[in-house]
Amino acid sequence: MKAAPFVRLALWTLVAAFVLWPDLFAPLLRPLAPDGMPVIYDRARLADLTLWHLGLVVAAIIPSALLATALAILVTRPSGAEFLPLARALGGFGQTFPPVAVLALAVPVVGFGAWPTLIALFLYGLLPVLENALAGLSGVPRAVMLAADGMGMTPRQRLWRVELPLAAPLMVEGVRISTVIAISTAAIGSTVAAPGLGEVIIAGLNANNLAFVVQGGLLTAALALIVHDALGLAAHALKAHRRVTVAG
Amino acid sequence: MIELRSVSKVYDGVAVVDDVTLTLERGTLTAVVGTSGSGKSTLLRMVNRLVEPTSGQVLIDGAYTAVIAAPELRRKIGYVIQDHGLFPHWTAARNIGTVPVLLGWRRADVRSRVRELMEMLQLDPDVIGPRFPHELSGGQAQRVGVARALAARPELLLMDEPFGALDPVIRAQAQADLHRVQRRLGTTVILVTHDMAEAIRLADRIAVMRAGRIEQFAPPADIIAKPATPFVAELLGEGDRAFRYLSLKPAADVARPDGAAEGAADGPVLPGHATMAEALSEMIWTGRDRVRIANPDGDPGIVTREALIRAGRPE
Amino acid sequence: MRGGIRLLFLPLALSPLLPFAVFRANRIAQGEPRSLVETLGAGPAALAVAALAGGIAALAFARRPAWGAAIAAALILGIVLAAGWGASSLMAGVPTQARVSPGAGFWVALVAAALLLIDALARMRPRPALRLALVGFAVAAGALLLSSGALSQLSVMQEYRNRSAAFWREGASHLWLAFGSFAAAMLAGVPLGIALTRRAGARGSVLGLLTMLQTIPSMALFGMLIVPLGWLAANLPAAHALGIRGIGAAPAFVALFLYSLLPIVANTVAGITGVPRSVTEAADGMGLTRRQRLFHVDVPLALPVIITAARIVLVQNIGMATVGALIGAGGFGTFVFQGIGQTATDLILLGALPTVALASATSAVMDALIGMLPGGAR
Repeated sequence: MKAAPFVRLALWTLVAAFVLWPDLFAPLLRPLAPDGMPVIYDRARLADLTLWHLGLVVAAIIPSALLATALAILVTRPSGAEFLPLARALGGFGQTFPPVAVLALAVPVVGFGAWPTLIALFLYGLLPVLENALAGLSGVPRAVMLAADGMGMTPRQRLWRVELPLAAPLMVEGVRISTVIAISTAAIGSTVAAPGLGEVIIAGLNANNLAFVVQGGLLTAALALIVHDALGLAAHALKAHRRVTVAG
Repeated sequence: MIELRSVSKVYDGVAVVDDVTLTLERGTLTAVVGTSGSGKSTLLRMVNRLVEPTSGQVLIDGAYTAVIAAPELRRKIGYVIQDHGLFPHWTAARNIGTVPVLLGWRRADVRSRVRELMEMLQLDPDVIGPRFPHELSGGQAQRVGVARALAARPELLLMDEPFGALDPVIRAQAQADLHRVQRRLGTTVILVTHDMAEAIRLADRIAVMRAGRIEQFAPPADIIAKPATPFVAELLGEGDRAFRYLSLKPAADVARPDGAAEGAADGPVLPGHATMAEALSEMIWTGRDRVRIANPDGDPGIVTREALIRAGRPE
Repeated sequence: MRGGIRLLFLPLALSPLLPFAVFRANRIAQGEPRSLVETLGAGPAALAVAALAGGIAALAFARRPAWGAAIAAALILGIVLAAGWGASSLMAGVPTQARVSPGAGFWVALVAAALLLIDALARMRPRPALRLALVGFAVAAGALLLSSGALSQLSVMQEYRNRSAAFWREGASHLWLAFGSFAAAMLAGVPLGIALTRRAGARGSVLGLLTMLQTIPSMALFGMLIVPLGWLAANLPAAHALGIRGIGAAPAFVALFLYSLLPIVANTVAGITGVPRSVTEAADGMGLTRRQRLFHVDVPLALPVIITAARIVLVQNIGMATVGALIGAGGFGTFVFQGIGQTATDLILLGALPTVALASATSAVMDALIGMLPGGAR
């Protein structure tokens, strides 16, 4: 584990260098490009595409995670308990929907561009967060809930001071899963003309230019790995001081 | 004073607690004893309204609890549960400070109260205070749970099988702590347990529950002497009933001054607070028919076997 | 049905007010909404609304979840049949290139009824055998409905008729990609997992590597695998003879295989290391050899956890295989991406609906299987 910070730093540096000065890496990719074809994607700057890609993901995941958390809180309150079986069933059932299908079905509704991608990312992002938040909130030990009530916490105090902090690591884990899926789906979003790193891969596939495919693929992969790693650190920090008390 | 007036709780047509009326005096420790499913925990939770009675009233010092907002009521009542229910994301110190913080005490007041309680329960504030619950031993966690319940100086303490998860040695220690703390603070305590021996050891009065009803409500000596129903007798365990009875009475009650007529006994001198059971045990173990017992006012007294046997049979 | 779930009656009851169908002069023309009355005719529309009202009333009074489920299922069947019938009546006497697809009213009613069905099923908590029977029933009903011709005038079905050969061919390659890569991953992953339980030191790094692989977005992995496989095909005649090419099924198969490894290996490790110590000690105490313990104690007890991984992997593979179409691997994704390219919703649905159905059915069947295992969690 001691190597982790160095690997992390190296990955960040490499990605930053590639995004900012891709031409430095052109000699490495040259053998993959057909003769006479550009080696580095030239229809947009890689830095812009990376930002677009991340921006789409963030713009979709933040409201998605907030809504999913709110829903999970709602159905774990006594007044919403009625919807708990439905929420659980939907959370499980919804995840059998392939992200590609969600993306493709959004196109007829809102047309091409960033919107169908945003909608697909938003909808698909709900489920892992919902499922994990439900697991986290309903996994708070009975004795702890009883103690909170017995100490005289109001339902709101119990939620904010006990339930949410205890469920937080699992919730962040849910956000992590959602975000990684979103990065992947956003790449596919380029098939419906969403700006992002996917368009580099698509352009490469269409033009049979493997140099494009590889640079787009590597950058997307690096983006996913970096975000996955960062959110993993966040989840770890949240539970650093205690044993995980909630069952998954 | 706690009054329960015809309190019942019905779940799906089944009365878990069935028309219970009890009056508990201020400053006493009442044990509610029963097998699992007897409704004893439900009864306890109706006092701090974690469970709302289906019918009947609960009064604390003459005030109806039903009209006080539940959180406000509960902040004034200490509550200890079996699996201690410590908040896993808070340190021991922060756990203990829970209710004072909810009540909006100043931070310095909370901190000094936490220290005071930890010292009273023999927990080192600097060592145990910053630890998280999973870093505590079972006994420590239990004491932190008691400290948390006592933090806002409640006049009433509810304990639901507080020692159930402890091993025998630590349990005896925890029981002794409770006895000491209760004497010192004068807190009214309701203790739910399935362990009759624990109830006899600690309680001023015992309520024996079965199927939601009170079978007998009396001081321990009366429970042992005159079990009201076969069920109470069964809970007591017929075999060592006499010994249990003896364990309630101080040996000093039947001690005589060390008269020359008896012939001075040799062997160790029992401490002055020794019970008759301890005196008899000492005799059996050392093969004597009399033992000496310390007397703060003068020479040790003498307790004889005959005196113990006479005293061990309630009239 | 009682309580808040009845809120779903509202969209169900209001759905007849929304356009029930969409009519288009040809498959990519602008759609024109058609109300329920316009679609079915006044008499049948009144009948349909009456049936809907009856269904809602019956749901309101259904005491047992099983009744609720049966009524909701009947409603779904009715809504779908009405759409098929409406399509036939709208298509009567118009040129054959015209298309009729379900409208907002249809979707609102369908989703509300489906949610009611899901809720009722969740409350029923059917036993695994019953769940399996219900899946079988649903699949049979769906097959009957599709083959009966009752839906044949719906635009999706027209799209299907135009490419039925391609549909079954892509379906076969979809199944081959999803299930073939799953089988390969099980063959490799379970032994790898068992080996890792014996080498705690290697466990972290292997699982870490597999997690990294799993994190790589599908399009990136599919695309990048073209490079090594293309090289193999170009330089290794044997690989070429096996059908390995830079693009096509090979990189997709390999990518799905790699994605499948993490759940299988991780759950095998978790399942075996999760066997209670008391049990392994008892096994050792009775004199079982390591191999005997593995096959008679560890693996059987870990089976529910391993099958859970199989469920995760299959659902994931069925969904992800659609992406394979981007690199020419075939599968239902072909229709999805063609449909996106032509802005043809029906074509997208032709690819998406069977994928969703396949994934849901597989998930339900696997869940039931897990429940049937001794010690299965559900």
